[in-house]
Amino acid sequence: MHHSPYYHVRFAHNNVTIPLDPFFDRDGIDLNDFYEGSILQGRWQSGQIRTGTGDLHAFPTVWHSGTMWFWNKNWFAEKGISAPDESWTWDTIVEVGKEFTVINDDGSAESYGMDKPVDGNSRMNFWIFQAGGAFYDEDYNACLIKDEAPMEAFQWMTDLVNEHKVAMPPEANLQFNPFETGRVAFAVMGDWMIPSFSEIEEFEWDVFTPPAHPVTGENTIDAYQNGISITSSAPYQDEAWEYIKWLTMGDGAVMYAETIFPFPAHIPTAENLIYVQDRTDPPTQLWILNQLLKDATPVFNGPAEGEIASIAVEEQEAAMLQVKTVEEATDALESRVNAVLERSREELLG
Amino acid sequence: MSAVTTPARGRFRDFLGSNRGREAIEAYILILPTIIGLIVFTASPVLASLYYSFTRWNLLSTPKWQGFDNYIELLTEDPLFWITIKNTGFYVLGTVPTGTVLALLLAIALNQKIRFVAVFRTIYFLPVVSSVVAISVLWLWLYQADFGLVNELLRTLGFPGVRWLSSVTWAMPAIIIMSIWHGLGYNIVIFIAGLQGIPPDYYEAATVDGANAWHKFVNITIPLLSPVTFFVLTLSLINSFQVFEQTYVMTRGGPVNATKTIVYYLFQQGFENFHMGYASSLAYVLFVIIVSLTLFQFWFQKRWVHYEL
Repeated sequence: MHHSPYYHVRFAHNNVTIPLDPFFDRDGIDLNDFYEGSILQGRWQSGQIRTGTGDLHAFPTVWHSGTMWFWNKNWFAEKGISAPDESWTWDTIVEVGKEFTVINDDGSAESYGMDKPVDGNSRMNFWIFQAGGAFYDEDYNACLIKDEAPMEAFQWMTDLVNEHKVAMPPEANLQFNPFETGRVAFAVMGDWMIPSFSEIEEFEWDVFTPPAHPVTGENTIDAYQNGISITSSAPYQDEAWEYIKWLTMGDGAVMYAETIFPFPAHIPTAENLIYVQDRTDPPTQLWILNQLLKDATPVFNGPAEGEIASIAVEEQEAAMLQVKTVEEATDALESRVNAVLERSREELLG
Repeated sequence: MSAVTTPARGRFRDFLGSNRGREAIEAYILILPTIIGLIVFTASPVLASLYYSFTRWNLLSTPKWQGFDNYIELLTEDPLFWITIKNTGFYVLGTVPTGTVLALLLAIALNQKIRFVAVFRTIYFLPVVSSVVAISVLWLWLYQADFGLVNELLRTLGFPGVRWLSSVTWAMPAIIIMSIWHGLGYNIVIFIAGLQGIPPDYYEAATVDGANAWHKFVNITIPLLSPVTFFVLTLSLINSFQVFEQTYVMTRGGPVNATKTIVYYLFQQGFENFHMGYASSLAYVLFVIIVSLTLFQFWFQKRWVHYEL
């Protein structure tokens, strides 16, 4: 059974999935061949409301990020602005963003430097990580958004829209594809956008190293695994394990990466096939993702991560649309997330 | 022991042996698939959801009975529930009266002997047979703040553009406008049927008595159309309370919950957050609201619905 990391804890806790440790121990599988975070994110142990430790319930097929920075090469060339590189910091976003932002007198916008300043999952975790903070405490007992670093990140995100006015405010629906249609010059999106961008003709684009926090120097990204599990009711569990091996580290891994999802969690497959330095088709700079994914901060999902994501998006939007102040939005975010965490603990731990 | 045939059983056996009896059996066999479908796919889930509304259930675990906790929580502790009630009420008040009045006026216009009337009727009915999802996507483009046609038109006329779907003030009115446009054709057809059912004798007699068009509209058309108006109002009200597709496609309940309706919230709780018990309780609260308002409408119609002059 393939599933998103949002469901790992829920499935494991309800005995829908079984631990895979006996299988890979028996076959001598070296888990070091996989990105560390992708393995940790599939682990769960009884008594925990988050992934990260314990038995491996979800074997990683994919290890990828919602924090991939894309830039419009045509437009940068037209403006005579040099390509974004590893020297970029948060401040560069504002400097360069202003070059591309055109707001008309009637308030309508011709273009912005940057797309909505959240990641491909509409979350802001990467800003928090780069500022040196975390969204949850270690045990997932509390939301830390009111701590100094997350508050700085939250304020920064809203400032990009309302203070610096270089980032696009939230739109009702992202189907307008502002990056592909040339309304924004650079954007943070999920790496899963790469295959669809590749199909667009006469549109030159690439990825670049995420801008770093000007003080911490961090440019860490968040990352997620897609996992595959064996269900407790599966009648042929050994055969299921053979399929998992084929799909995650055998010929199937190559086929999967070439046809469906090009971000293998299996490092040899990823490095030989995807993150090569001599790519000629965009994104030519995709190799930078390799190290970022090795260093990525795994988001250890609890059983209600989807619900928490919705709450976070609501409060981020409230601040970016100036319906609430940053203080009000973060107060609400903290109390709402803590209520969900408390209910999750009740549900899982009694 | 000999079998004793009672008079009732005898009559039943005679009935089964008769032509009417055989026809009845055939009829029941023919409707059996529908009855089974109704029981399995409608009645059972409805009853099951009533039970689940008293439980905590996440689809994977065993439902845990907790009495009225879900209902108490949503009525006393959940601010989002009251926001969705307010939003849904706003949507109902925005769509039902306006949509009904507009449909009536257009039906009267389309009931005149004008050229290409069939073409006009078809044009008005086209949105009804179109998918709400497709229409919602279309209107997303129309409402786009920076390059949408609606704002282009407003700016051409000298008005400032509006961030329709990104504004907590304008998002719901935008959805209301689109929904009225979408549902108009259906109500127009119903009203036209009602208008054509009014005997022309009444209008002729009124003309002889010197009544003008307004008098005829107020004293003949409105009263004799009242059963149709009642039908339209009742159905529109029920449909409006269940609004979902538009908000799901266009705004996902946003911005900042401005378009989150009861059914959207129910969907979110049930199928995104897996709080099936809580979602079921929301469904039953919605059911009670709709049934209460429908019963009120049936009671109140005695005061204003006329089946004859």
